[in-house]
Amino acid sequence: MTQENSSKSNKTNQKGYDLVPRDKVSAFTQRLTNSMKEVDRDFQKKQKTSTDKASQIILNA
Amino acid sequence: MSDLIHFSIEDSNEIIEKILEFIETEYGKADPEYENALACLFDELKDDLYFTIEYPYVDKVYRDSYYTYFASKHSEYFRDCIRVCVFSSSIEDIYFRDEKYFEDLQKLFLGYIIIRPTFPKILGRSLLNKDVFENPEFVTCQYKGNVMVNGVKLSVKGFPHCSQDSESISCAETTIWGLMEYFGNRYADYRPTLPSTILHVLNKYSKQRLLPSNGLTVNQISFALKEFCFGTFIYSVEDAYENELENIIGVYTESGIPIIAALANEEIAHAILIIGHTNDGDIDFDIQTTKKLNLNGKEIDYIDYSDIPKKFVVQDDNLPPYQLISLDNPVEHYEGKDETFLGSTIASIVVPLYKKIYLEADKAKKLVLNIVKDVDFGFQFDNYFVFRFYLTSSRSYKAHIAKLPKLDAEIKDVLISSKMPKFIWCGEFYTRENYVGNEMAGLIVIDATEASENKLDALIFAGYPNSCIFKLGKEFAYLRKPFQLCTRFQNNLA
Repeated sequence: MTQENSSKSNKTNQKGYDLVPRDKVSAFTQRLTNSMKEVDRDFQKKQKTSTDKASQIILNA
Repeated sequence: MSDLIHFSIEDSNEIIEKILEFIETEYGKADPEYENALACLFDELKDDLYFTIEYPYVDKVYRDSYYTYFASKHSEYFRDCIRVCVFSSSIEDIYFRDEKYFEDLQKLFLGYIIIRPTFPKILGRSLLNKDVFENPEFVTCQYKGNVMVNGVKLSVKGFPHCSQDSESISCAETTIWGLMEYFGNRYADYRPTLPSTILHVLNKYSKQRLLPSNGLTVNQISFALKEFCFGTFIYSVEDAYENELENIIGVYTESGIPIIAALANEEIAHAILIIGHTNDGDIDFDIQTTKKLNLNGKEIDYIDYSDIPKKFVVQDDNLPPYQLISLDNPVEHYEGKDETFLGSTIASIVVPLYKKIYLEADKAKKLVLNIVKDVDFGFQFDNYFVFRFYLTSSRSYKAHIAKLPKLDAEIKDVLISSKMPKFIWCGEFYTRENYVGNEMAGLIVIDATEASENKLDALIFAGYPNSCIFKLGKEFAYLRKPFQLCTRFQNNLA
Protein backbone atom coordinates (compact mmCIF):
# COMPACT_ATOMS: atom_id res chain seq x y z
CA MET A 1 0.00 0.00 0.00
CA THR A 2 1.33 3.47 -0.83
CA GLN A 3 2.51 5.67 2.05
CA GLU A 4 2.31 8.90 0.10
CA ASN A 5 -0.10 11.56 1.22
CA SER A 6 -1.00 13.15 -2.08
CA SER A 7 -1.19 11.58 -5.46
CA LYS A 8 -2.13 13.21 -8.71
CA SER A 9 -0.91 10.59 -11.12
CA ASN A 10 -1.30 6.84 -11.17
CA LYS A 11 0.14 5.69 -7.84
CA THR A 12 0.00 1.97 -7.33
CA ASN A 13 -0.19 -0.30 -4.31
CA GLN A 14 1.76 -3.49 -3.73
CA LYS A 15 -0.56 -5.50 -5.93
CA GLY A 16 -0.10 -3.06 -8.76
CA TYR A 17 -3.53 -1.45 -8.73
CA ASP A 18 -3.71 2.22 -9.67
CA LEU A 19 -4.92 4.17 -6.69
CA VAL A 20 -7.58 6.82 -7.04
CA PRO A 21 -5.86 10.15 -6.25
CA ARG A 22 -6.63 11.20 -2.72
CA ASP A 23 -7.88 14.63 -3.69
CA LYS A 24 -10.45 12.94 -5.90
CA VAL A 25 -11.50 10.68 -3.02
CA SER A 26 -11.79 13.65 -0.63
CA ALA A 27 -13.85 15.59 -3.12
CA PHE A 28 -16.09 12.56 -3.71
CA THR A 29 -16.62 12.04 0.04
CA GLN A 30 -17.40 15.71 0.49
CA ARG A 31 -19.92 15.71 -2.40
CA LEU A 32 -21.57 12.59 -0.99
CA THR A 33 -21.74 13.98 2.53
CA ASN A 34 -23.26 17.23 1.29
CA SER A 35 -25.83 15.50 -0.88
CA MET A 36 -26.85 13.20 1.97
CA LYS A 37 -27.32 15.98 4.53
CA GLU A 38 -30.82 16.78 3.34
CA VAL A 39 -31.61 13.04 3.17
CA ASP A 40 -30.50 12.73 6.79
CA ARG A 41 -32.66 15.62 7.98
CA ASP A 42 -35.65 14.21 6.12
CA PHE A 43 -34.97 10.77 7.60
CA GLN A 44 -34.86 12.08 11.20
CA LYS A 45 -38.15 13.89 10.70
CA LYS A 46 -39.86 10.88 9.13
CA GLN A 47 -38.62 8.51 11.81
CA LYS A 48 -39.94 10.72 14.60
CA THR A 49 -43.35 11.00 12.93
CA SER A 50 -43.37 7.25 12.24
CA THR A 51 -42.82 6.41 15.90
CA ASP A 52 -45.46 8.91 17.04
CA LYS A 53 -48.04 7.50 14.63
CA ALA A 54 -47.11 3.92 15.47
CA SER A 55 -47.86 4.48 19.15
CA GLN A 56 -51.50 5.17 18.28
CA ILE A 57 -52.23 1.89 16.51
CA ILE A 58 -53.35 -1.04 18.66
CA LEU A 59 -53.07 -4.27 16.72
CA ASN A 60 -55.64 -6.75 17.95
CA ALA A 61 -57.95 -7.70 15.07
CA MET B 1 -58.57 -42.81 24.93
CA SER B 2 -55.71 -45.22 24.22
CA ASP B 3 -52.66 -45.37 26.45
CA LEU B 4 -50.47 -45.32 23.36
CA ILE B 5 -49.92 -42.52 20.85
CA HIS B 6 -52.41 -42.81 18.02
CA PHE B 7 -50.82 -42.70 14.57
CA SER B 8 -52.78 -43.10 11.34
CA ILE B 9 -52.36 -42.30 7.65
CA GLU B 10 -55.13 -40.53 5.71
CA ASP B 11 -55.55 -39.17 2.21
CA SER B 12 -56.80 -35.77 1.03
CA ASN B 13 -60.41 -36.90 0.79
CA GLU B 14 -60.58 -38.13 4.36
CA ILE B 15 -58.36 -35.81 6.34
CA ILE B 16 -60.92 -33.23 7.49
CA GLU B 17 -63.44 -35.88 8.46
CA LYS B 18 -60.83 -37.83 10.40
CA ILE B 19 -59.66 -34.76 12.32
CA LEU B 20 -63.27 -33.90 13.17
CA GLU B 21 -63.79 -37.45 14.40
CA PHE B 22 -60.73 -37.07 16.58
CA ILE B 23 -61.90 -33.77 17.98
CA GLU B 24 -65.22 -35.34 18.89
CA THR B 25 -63.67 -38.46 20.43
CA GLU B 26 -60.83 -36.84 22.35
CA TYR B 27 -62.26 -33.44 23.27
CA GLY B 28 -65.99 -34.22 23.10
CA LYS B 29 -66.55 -31.24 20.80
CA ALA B 30 -68.51 -31.00 17.57
CA ASP B 31 -69.41 -27.86 15.71
CA PRO B 32 -69.70 -26.97 11.99
CA GLU B 33 -67.34 -24.07 12.72
CA TYR B 34 -64.46 -26.52 13.25
CA GLU B 35 -65.05 -28.01 9.82
CA ASN B 36 -65.02 -24.51 8.32
CA ALA B 37 -61.74 -23.72 10.06
CA LEU B 38 -60.14 -26.91 8.79
CA ALA B 39 -61.56 -26.54 5.28
CA CYS B 40 -60.18 -23.02 5.12
CA LEU B 41 -56.67 -24.49 5.27
CA PHE B 42 -56.95 -28.00 3.80
CA ASP B 43 -58.99 -26.88 0.78
CA GLU B 44 -56.11 -24.60 -0.22
CA LEU B 45 -53.64 -27.49 -0.40
CA LYS B 46 -53.10 -29.41 -3.60
CA ASP B 47 -54.93 -32.68 -4.20
CA ASP B 48 -53.35 -36.09 -3.74
CA LEU B 49 -51.48 -35.24 -0.57
CA TYR B 50 -51.21 -37.78 2.23
CA PHE B 51 -51.41 -37.02 5.92
CA THR B 52 -50.54 -38.60 9.21
CA ILE B 53 -52.51 -37.88 12.38
CA GLU B 54 -50.87 -38.14 15.82
CA TYR B 55 -52.58 -37.75 19.16
CA PRO B 56 -51.73 -36.79 21.85
CA TYR B 57 -49.10 -34.34 20.70
CA VAL B 58 -47.34 -31.97 23.08
CA ASP B 59 -47.02 -28.67 21.25
CA LYS B 60 -44.51 -26.33 22.89
CA VAL B 61 -46.32 -23.16 21.86
CA TYR B 62 -49.79 -24.23 22.96
CA ARG B 63 -48.45 -25.80 26.18
CA ASP B 64 -46.85 -22.46 26.96
CA SER B 65 -50.20 -20.67 26.56
CA TYR B 66 -51.90 -23.48 28.45
CA TYR B 67 -49.71 -23.21 31.53
CA THR B 68 -49.53 -19.41 31.43
CA TYR B 69 -53.21 -18.83 30.92
CA PHE B 70 -55.72 -21.59 30.10
CA ALA B 71 -54.86 -23.85 33.05
CA SER B 72 -55.54 -21.00 35.47
CA LYS B 73 -59.17 -20.70 34.31
CA HIS B 74 -62.13 -22.34 36.00
CA SER B 75 -63.47 -24.22 32.96
CA GLU B 76 -61.71 -27.33 31.73
CA TYR B 77 -59.16 -26.81 28.96
CA PHE B 78 -57.31 -29.64 27.27
CA ARG B 79 -53.55 -29.66 27.19
CA ASP B 80 -52.83 -32.05 24.32
CA CYS B 81 -52.92 -31.24 20.61
CA ILE B 82 -53.31 -33.20 17.40
CA ARG B 83 -50.44 -33.08 14.91
CA VAL B 84 -51.07 -33.55 11.21
CA CYS B 85 -48.03 -34.16 8.99
CA VAL B 86 -48.17 -33.70 5.23
CA PHE B 87 -46.60 -35.93 2.56
CA SER B 88 -46.61 -35.40 -1.17
CA SER B 89 -47.38 -39.00 -2.07
CA SER B 90 -48.76 -42.17 -0.54
CA ILE B 91 -46.96 -43.61 2.46
CA GLU B 92 -47.49 -46.71 4.57
CA ASP B 93 -46.99 -47.59 8.23
CA ILE B 94 -44.02 -49.78 7.37
CA TYR B 95 -42.13 -46.70 6.06
CA PHE B 96 -41.71 -45.57 9.67
CA ARG B 97 -40.33 -48.85 10.89
CA ASP B 98 -37.84 -49.82 8.20
CA GLU B 99 -34.77 -47.62 7.68
CA LYS B 100 -34.67 -48.24 3.94
CA TYR B 101 -37.77 -46.03 3.58
CA PHE B 102 -36.53 -43.10 5.69
CA GLU B 103 -34.94 -41.33 2.74
CA ASP B 104 -38.20 -41.66 0.77
CA LEU B 105 -40.13 -40.24 3.70
CA GLN B 106 -37.80 -37.24 3.77
CA LYS B 107 -38.32 -36.64 0.04
CA LEU B 108 -42.10 -36.73 0.48
CA PHE B 109 -42.32 -34.74 3.70
CA LEU B 110 -43.91 -31.28 3.30
CA GLY B 111 -44.42 -30.13 6.87
CA TYR B 112 -46.89 -30.22 9.72
CA ILE B 113 -49.95 -28.50 11.17
CA ILE B 114 -50.95 -28.49 14.84
CA ILE B 115 -54.64 -28.72 15.70
CA ARG B 116 -55.02 -27.23 19.16
CA PRO B 117 -58.00 -27.39 21.55
CA THR B 118 -58.72 -23.64 21.54
CA PHE B 119 -62.22 -23.85 20.16
CA PRO B 120 -63.26 -22.54 17.68
CA LYS B 121 -59.83 -21.23 16.56
CA ILE B 122 -58.26 -24.65 16.35
CA LEU B 123 -55.47 -24.15 13.82
CA GLY B 124 -52.23 -23.89 15.77
CA ARG B 125 -48.75 -23.43 14.48
CA SER B 126 -47.61 -24.92 11.22
CA LEU B 127 -44.44 -25.21 9.21
CA LEU B 128 -45.31 -26.04 5.63
CA ASN B 129 -43.20 -26.15 2.52
CA LYS B 130 -44.69 -24.05 -0.26
CA ASP B 131 -44.96 -27.21 -2.38
CA VAL B 132 -48.12 -28.11 -0.46
CA PHE B 133 -49.76 -25.75 -2.97
CA GLU B 134 -50.34 -26.36 -6.67
CA ASN B 135 -47.68 -24.45 -8.67
CA PRO B 136 -46.42 -22.06 -6.01
CA GLU B 137 -45.21 -19.12 -8.09
CA PHE B 138 -43.56 -17.22 -5.26
CA VAL B 139 -40.39 -16.98 -3.20
CA THR B 140 -40.18 -16.45 0.56
CA CYS B 141 -37.83 -16.36 3.52
CA GLN B 142 -37.57 -19.87 4.89
CA TYR B 143 -35.72 -21.99 7.41
CA LYS B 144 -35.19 -25.70 7.81
CA GLY B 145 -37.11 -27.15 10.72
CA ASN B 146 -36.45 -30.60 12.18
CA VAL B 147 -39.37 -32.81 13.12
CA MET B 148 -39.65 -36.26 14.68
CA VAL B 149 -42.55 -38.12 13.06
CA ASN B 150 -43.42 -41.52 14.49
CA GLY B 151 -39.79 -42.18 15.37
CA VAL B 152 -38.29 -40.85 12.13
CA LYS B 153 -36.31 -37.62 12.06
CA LEU B 154 -37.43 -35.47 9.13
CA SER B 155 -36.85 -31.88 8.08
CA VAL B 156 -38.83 -29.31 6.14
CA LYS B 157 -38.17 -25.84 4.75
CA GLY B 158 -40.83 -23.20 5.20
CA PHE B 159 -41.96 -20.16 7.13
CA PRO B 160 -43.87 -20.64 10.41
CA HIS B 161 -47.53 -19.73 10.70
CA CYS B 162 -49.93 -19.76 13.62
CA SER B 163 -53.51 -18.65 13.93
CA GLN B 164 -54.47 -16.50 16.88
CA ASP B 165 -56.63 -17.93 19.66
CA SER B 166 -57.72 -14.32 20.48
CA GLU B 167 -57.41 -14.96 24.20
CA SER B 168 -53.81 -15.70 25.02
CA ILE B 169 -52.33 -14.47 21.74
CA SER B 170 -53.64 -11.92 19.23
CA CYS B 171 -52.24 -11.01 15.84
CA ALA B 172 -49.56 -8.83 17.41
CA GLU B 173 -48.08 -11.62 19.53
CA THR B 174 -48.31 -14.18 16.71
CA THR B 175 -46.33 -11.97 14.34
CA ILE B 176 -43.59 -11.56 16.97
CA TRP B 177 -43.65 -15.31 17.60
CA GLY B 178 -43.43 -16.03 13.84
CA LEU B 179 -40.49 -13.70 13.38
CA MET B 180 -38.59 -15.15 16.31
CA GLU B 181 -39.36 -18.71 15.24
CA TYR B 182 -37.88 -17.92 11.83
CA PHE B 183 -34.81 -15.97 12.99
CA GLY B 184 -34.19 -18.20 16.02
CA ASN B 185 -34.13 -21.35 13.95
CA ARG B 186 -32.12 -19.84 11.13
CA TYR B 187 -29.47 -17.68 12.81
CA ALA B 188 -27.31 -18.27 15.88
CA ASP B 189 -27.78 -14.65 17.03
CA TYR B 190 -31.43 -15.23 17.98
CA ARG B 191 -33.58 -17.76 19.83
CA PRO B 192 -37.13 -18.95 19.13
CA THR B 193 -39.54 -17.37 21.58
CA LEU B 194 -42.68 -18.56 23.32
CA PRO B 195 -45.77 -16.39 23.93
CA SER B 196 -45.07 -16.16 27.69
CA THR B 197 -41.56 -14.82 26.99
CA ILE B 198 -43.01 -12.13 24.73
CA LEU B 199 -45.39 -11.08 27.53
CA HIS B 200 -42.60 -11.21 30.09
CA VAL B 201 -40.49 -8.85 28.00
CA LEU B 202 -43.38 -6.45 27.45
CA ASN B 203 -44.48 -6.46 31.09
CA LYS B 204 -41.55 -4.20 31.93
CA TYR B 205 -42.90 -1.61 29.55
CA SER B 206 -46.64 -2.06 29.89
CA LYS B 207 -48.79 -0.03 32.27
CA GLN B 208 -51.57 -2.59 32.32
CA ARG B 209 -52.06 -6.35 32.22
CA LEU B 210 -51.30 -8.17 28.97
CA LEU B 211 -53.40 -11.31 29.57
CA PRO B 212 -56.03 -11.87 28.24
CA SER B 213 -54.50 -10.28 25.17
CA ASN B 214 -55.86 -6.93 24.06
CA GLY B 215 -53.28 -6.63 21.33
CA LEU B 216 -50.14 -4.50 21.20
CA THR B 217 -49.23 -1.18 19.67
CA VAL B 218 -46.71 -1.02 16.83
CA ASN B 219 -44.28 0.57 19.28
CA GLN B 220 -44.70 -2.31 21.73
CA ILE B 221 -43.94 -4.79 18.94
CA SER B 222 -40.83 -2.84 18.06
CA PHE B 223 -39.82 -2.71 21.73
CA ALA B 224 -40.22 -6.48 22.11
CA LEU B 225 -38.11 -7.11 19.02
CA LYS B 226 -35.45 -4.76 20.33
CA GLU B 227 -35.38 -6.79 23.54
CA PHE B 228 -34.86 -9.88 21.39
CA CYS B 229 -31.63 -8.34 20.01
CA PHE B 230 -32.89 -6.68 16.83
CA GLY B 231 -32.21 -3.13 15.73
CA THR B 232 -35.69 -2.18 14.59
CA PHE B 233 -36.91 0.60 12.33
CA ILE B 234 -40.53 1.79 12.17
CA TYR B 235 -41.89 3.33 8.99
CA SER B 236 -45.36 4.92 9.02
CA VAL B 237 -47.35 6.21 6.09
CA GLU B 238 -49.11 9.22 7.55
CA ASP B 239 -47.04 12.42 7.39
CA ALA B 240 -43.88 10.37 6.78
CA TYR B 241 -43.40 7.68 4.13
CA GLU B 242 -46.63 8.43 2.23
CA ASN B 243 -45.47 7.45 -1.25
CA GLU B 244 -42.39 5.48 -0.32
CA LEU B 245 -43.60 2.74 1.99
CA GLU B 246 -44.43 0.21 -0.72
CA ASN B 247 -40.99 0.68 -2.24
CA ILE B 248 -39.35 0.23 1.18
CA ILE B 249 -41.37 -2.96 1.73
CA GLY B 250 -40.17 -4.14 -1.69
CA VAL B 251 -36.53 -3.51 -0.75
CA TYR B 252 -36.72 -5.33 2.58
CA THR B 253 -38.64 -8.23 1.08
CA GLU B 254 -36.02 -8.54 -1.67
CA SER B 255 -33.46 -8.54 1.13
CA GLY B 256 -35.06 -11.63 2.68
CA ILE B 257 -36.14 -9.78 5.81
CA PRO B 258 -39.63 -10.64 7.05
CA ILE B 259 -41.41 -7.49 8.21
CA ILE B 260 -44.43 -6.82 10.39
CA ALA B 261 -47.08 -4.70 8.69
CA ALA B 262 -49.81 -2.91 10.63
CA LEU B 263 -53.06 -2.78 8.65
CA ALA B 264 -55.68 -0.32 9.79
CA ASN B 265 -58.99 1.22 8.87
CA GLU B 266 -61.22 3.40 11.05
CA GLU B 267 -62.51 0.41 13.01
CA ILE B 268 -59.74 -2.15 13.37
CA ALA B 269 -55.98 -2.64 13.24
CA HIS B 270 -54.31 -5.92 12.44
CA ALA B 271 -50.74 -7.23 12.20
CA ILE B 272 -49.41 -9.50 9.46
CA LEU B 273 -45.99 -10.72 8.38
CA ILE B 274 -44.73 -9.98 4.87
CA ILE B 275 -42.31 -12.78 3.96
CA GLY B 276 -41.83 -12.86 0.19
CA HIS B 277 -43.22 -12.03 -3.24
CA THR B 278 -44.38 -13.62 -6.46
CA ASN B 279 -41.85 -14.59 -9.12
CA ASP B 280 -41.01 -11.94 -11.70
CA GLY B 281 -42.43 -13.58 -14.80
CA ASP B 282 -42.22 -11.48 -17.97
CA ILE B 283 -41.88 -7.82 -17.03
CA ASP B 284 -43.22 -5.34 -19.56
CA PHE B 285 -40.80 -2.47 -19.02
CA ASP B 286 -42.74 -0.19 -21.36
CA ILE B 287 -45.52 0.18 -18.84
CA GLN B 288 -43.47 0.49 -15.65
CA THR B 289 -43.37 3.62 -13.52
CA THR B 290 -40.08 5.44 -13.92
CA LYS B 291 -38.11 7.75 -11.65
CA LYS B 292 -35.82 10.62 -12.56
CA LEU B 293 -32.10 10.79 -11.90
CA ASN B 294 -29.74 13.58 -12.85
CA LEU B 295 -26.59 11.97 -14.25
CA ASN B 296 -23.94 14.59 -15.00
CA GLY B 297 -26.47 17.25 -15.83
CA LYS B 298 -28.59 14.94 -17.95
CA GLU B 299 -32.02 14.02 -16.60
CA ILE B 300 -32.68 10.36 -17.27
CA ASP B 301 -35.47 7.93 -16.41
CA TYR B 302 -34.84 4.69 -14.61
CA ILE B 303 -36.97 1.82 -13.35
CA ASP B 304 -36.73 0.91 -9.69
CA TYR B 305 -37.22 -2.86 -9.38
CA SER B 306 -39.03 -2.39 -6.05
CA ASP B 307 -41.69 -0.30 -7.85
CA ILE B 308 -42.58 -3.09 -10.28
CA PRO B 309 -46.05 -4.33 -9.25
CA LYS B 310 -46.12 -7.78 -7.74
CA LYS B 311 -48.03 -9.72 -5.15
CA PHE B 312 -46.52 -10.18 -1.71
CA VAL B 313 -46.62 -13.36 0.36
CA VAL B 314 -47.98 -12.87 3.87
CA GLN B 315 -48.56 -14.90 7.00
CA ASP B 316 -51.87 -13.63 8.37
CA ASP B 317 -53.08 -15.35 11.53
CA ASN B 318 -56.72 -15.05 10.46
CA LEU B 319 -56.01 -16.79 7.12
CA PRO B 320 -54.20 -19.91 5.87
CA PRO B 321 -50.40 -19.63 5.43
CA TYR B 322 -48.73 -18.09 2.36
CA GLN B 323 -51.52 -15.78 1.19
CA LEU B 324 -50.77 -13.51 -1.76
CA ILE B 325 -51.79 -9.87 -1.43
CA SER B 326 -51.37 -6.57 -3.24
CA LEU B 327 -49.90 -3.87 -1.05
CA ASP B 328 -52.63 -1.44 -2.13
CA ASN B 329 -55.34 -3.85 -0.92
CA PRO B 330 -53.82 -6.04 1.80
CA VAL B 331 -57.21 -7.31 3.01
CA GLU B 332 -58.51 -8.67 -0.28
CA HIS B 333 -58.92 -12.15 1.26
CA TYR B 334 -61.38 -10.81 3.83
CA GLU B 335 -63.92 -9.89 1.15
CA GLY B 336 -67.04 -11.92 1.79
CA LYS B 337 -65.61 -13.22 5.08
CA ASP B 338 -65.26 -10.30 7.46
CA GLU B 339 -66.40 -6.88 6.35
CA THR B 340 -64.81 -5.07 9.30
CA PHE B 341 -61.38 -5.52 7.71
CA LEU B 342 -62.35 -4.00 4.38
CA GLY B 343 -60.72 -0.72 3.46
CA SER B 344 -57.68 -1.40 5.66
CA THR B 345 -54.37 -0.18 4.32
CA ILE B 346 -50.79 -0.53 5.52
CA ALA B 347 -50.32 2.17 8.15
CA SER B 348 -46.90 1.21 9.51
CA ILE B 349 -44.25 -1.44 9.26
CA VAL B 350 -41.70 -2.70 11.76
CA VAL B 351 -38.45 -3.93 10.25
CA PRO B 352 -36.27 -6.22 12.41
CA LEU B 353 -32.71 -5.61 11.32
CA TYR B 354 -29.55 -7.18 12.66
CA LYS B 355 -28.48 -4.83 15.46
CA LYS B 356 -25.29 -3.73 13.70
CA ILE B 357 -27.04 -2.66 10.50
CA TYR B 358 -27.09 1.07 11.09
CA LEU B 359 -27.87 2.15 7.54
CA GLU B 360 -31.54 1.53 6.73
CA ALA B 361 -33.09 1.00 3.31
CA ASP B 362 -34.28 4.48 2.36
CA LYS B 363 -31.01 6.25 3.15
CA ALA B 364 -28.90 3.41 1.75
CA LYS B 365 -30.71 3.52 -1.57
CA LYS B 366 -30.34 7.29 -1.85
CA LEU B 367 -26.66 6.93 -1.02
CA VAL B 368 -26.10 4.41 -3.83
CA LEU B 369 -27.94 6.63 -6.31
CA ASN B 370 -25.77 9.55 -5.21
CA ILE B 371 -22.67 7.44 -5.84
CA VAL B 372 -23.78 6.52 -9.35
CA LYS B 373 -24.44 10.21 -10.04
CA ASP B 374 -20.96 11.19 -8.98
CA VAL B 375 -18.69 12.69 -11.61
CA ASP B 376 -15.63 10.62 -10.56
CA PHE B 377 -17.07 7.52 -8.89
CA GLY B 378 -20.28 7.16 -10.90
CA PHE B 379 -21.29 6.13 -14.39
CA GLN B 380 -23.50 7.55 -17.13
CA PHE B 381 -26.06 4.77 -17.54
CA ASP B 382 -28.50 5.04 -20.42
CA ASN B 383 -32.11 6.04 -20.14
CA TYR B 384 -34.47 3.44 -18.65
CA PHE B 385 -31.86 1.43 -16.80
CA VAL B 386 -33.25 -0.98 -14.20
CA PHE B 387 -32.09 -0.60 -10.60
CA ARG B 388 -32.42 -3.45 -8.10
CA PHE B 389 -31.51 -2.85 -4.48
CA TYR B 390 -31.25 -5.16 -1.47
CA LEU B 391 -29.42 -6.02 1.72
CA THR B 392 -27.53 -9.26 2.14
CA SER B 393 -24.75 -10.82 4.17
CA SER B 394 -21.27 -10.44 2.70
CA ARG B 395 -20.77 -14.19 3.20
CA SER B 396 -23.77 -15.02 1.08
CA TYR B 397 -22.76 -12.46 -1.55
CA LYS B 398 -19.21 -13.75 -1.80
CA ALA B 399 -20.52 -17.30 -2.10
CA HIS B 400 -22.65 -16.12 -5.04
CA ILE B 401 -19.70 -14.36 -6.69
CA ALA B 402 -17.46 -17.42 -6.26
CA LYS B 403 -19.92 -19.54 -8.21
CA LEU B 404 -20.18 -17.26 -11.26
CA PRO B 405 -18.44 -19.08 -14.10
CA LYS B 406 -18.04 -16.18 -16.54
CA LEU B 407 -17.19 -13.25 -14.28
CA ASP B 408 -13.64 -11.97 -14.89
CA ALA B 409 -11.24 -13.78 -12.53
CA GLU B 410 -9.61 -10.58 -11.27
CA ILE B 411 -12.94 -8.88 -10.52
CA LYS B 412 -14.06 -12.05 -8.79
CA ASP B 413 -10.86 -12.07 -6.75
CA VAL B 414 -11.23 -8.42 -5.77
CA LEU B 415 -14.86 -8.88 -4.68
CA ILE B 416 -14.14 -12.01 -2.65
CA SER B 417 -10.91 -10.67 -1.11
CA SER B 418 -12.39 -7.29 -0.20
CA LYS B 419 -12.86 -6.66 3.50
CA MET B 420 -16.57 -6.32 4.10
CA PRO B 421 -18.81 -5.97 7.15
CA LYS B 422 -21.27 -8.74 8.01
CA PHE B 423 -24.03 -7.02 6.00
CA ILE B 424 -23.84 -5.03 2.79
CA TRP B 425 -26.28 -3.10 0.63
CA CYS B 426 -26.06 -3.95 -3.06
CA GLY B 427 -27.35 -1.95 -6.00
CA GLU B 428 -27.54 -3.85 -9.28
CA PHE B 429 -27.89 -1.97 -12.56
CA TYR B 430 -29.29 -3.49 -15.74
CA THR B 431 -30.21 -2.37 -19.19
CA ARG B 432 -33.79 -3.36 -19.96
CA GLU B 433 -32.51 -5.92 -22.43
CA ASN B 434 -30.00 -7.63 -20.16
CA TYR B 435 -32.39 -7.71 -17.20
CA VAL B 436 -34.16 -10.58 -18.94
CA GLY B 437 -30.79 -12.25 -19.60
CA ASN B 438 -30.02 -11.85 -15.90
CA GLU B 439 -26.76 -10.02 -16.52
CA MET B 440 -25.80 -6.87 -14.65
CA ALA B 441 -24.43 -3.76 -16.32
CA GLY B 442 -23.19 -2.39 -13.00
CA LEU B 443 -22.91 -3.12 -9.32
CA ILE B 444 -22.41 -0.92 -6.27
CA VAL B 445 -21.69 -2.49 -2.88
CA ILE B 446 -21.83 -0.35 0.27
CA ASP B 447 -21.24 -0.94 3.96
CA ALA B 448 -24.50 -1.41 5.90
CA THR B 449 -22.83 -0.42 9.17
CA GLU B 450 -21.85 3.04 7.91
CA ALA B 451 -24.44 5.67 8.71
CA SER B 452 -22.31 8.59 9.85
CA GLU B 453 -23.74 11.95 8.85
CA ASN B 454 -20.40 13.71 8.90
CA LYS B 455 -18.13 11.37 7.02
CA LEU B 456 -19.72 9.04 4.53
CA ASP B 457 -17.30 6.25 3.90
CA ALA B 458 -19.55 3.43 2.86
CA LEU B 459 -18.47 2.55 -0.70
CA ILE B 460 -16.81 -0.87 -1.00
CA PHE B 461 -17.04 -1.66 -4.69
CA ALA B 462 -18.40 -0.02 -7.83
CA GLY B 463 -18.35 -1.95 -11.10
CA TYR B 464 -19.37 -0.25 -14.34
CA PRO B 465 -19.30 -1.21 -18.04
CA ASN B 466 -16.00 0.64 -18.51
CA SER B 467 -14.12 0.07 -15.26
CA CYS B 468 -14.32 -0.76 -11.56
CA ILE B 469 -13.33 1.04 -8.37
CA PHE B 470 -12.85 -0.70 -5.08
CA LYS B 471 -11.87 0.06 -1.49
CA LEU B 472 -8.32 -0.97 -0.74
CA GLY B 473 -7.50 -0.35 2.91
CA LYS B 474 -8.09 3.36 3.45
CA GLU B 475 -7.78 4.17 -0.24
CA PHE B 476 -9.65 3.41 -3.44
CA ALA B 477 -8.12 1.62 -6.40
CA TYR B 478 -9.05 1.32 -10.05
CA LEU B 479 -9.57 -2.06 -11.61
CA ARG B 480 -9.47 -1.17 -15.26
CA LYS B 481 -11.70 -3.90 -16.53
CA PRO B 482 -15.31 -3.76 -17.66
CA PHE B 483 -17.78 -5.14 -15.16
CA GLN B 484 -19.73 -7.73 -17.11
CA LEU B 485 -21.06 -11.29 -17.06
CA CYS B 486 -22.18 -11.00 -13.45
CA THR B 487 -25.57 -12.58 -12.86
CA ARG B 488 -28.31 -11.56 -10.47
CA PHE B 489 -28.02 -12.43 -6.80
CA GLN B 490 -31.03 -14.46 -5.71
CA ASN B 491 -30.00 -16.13 -2.44
CA ASN B 492 -32.15 -13.99 -0.13
CA LEU B 493 -35.41 -15.77 -0.94
CA ALA B 494 -36.22 -19.32 -1.97
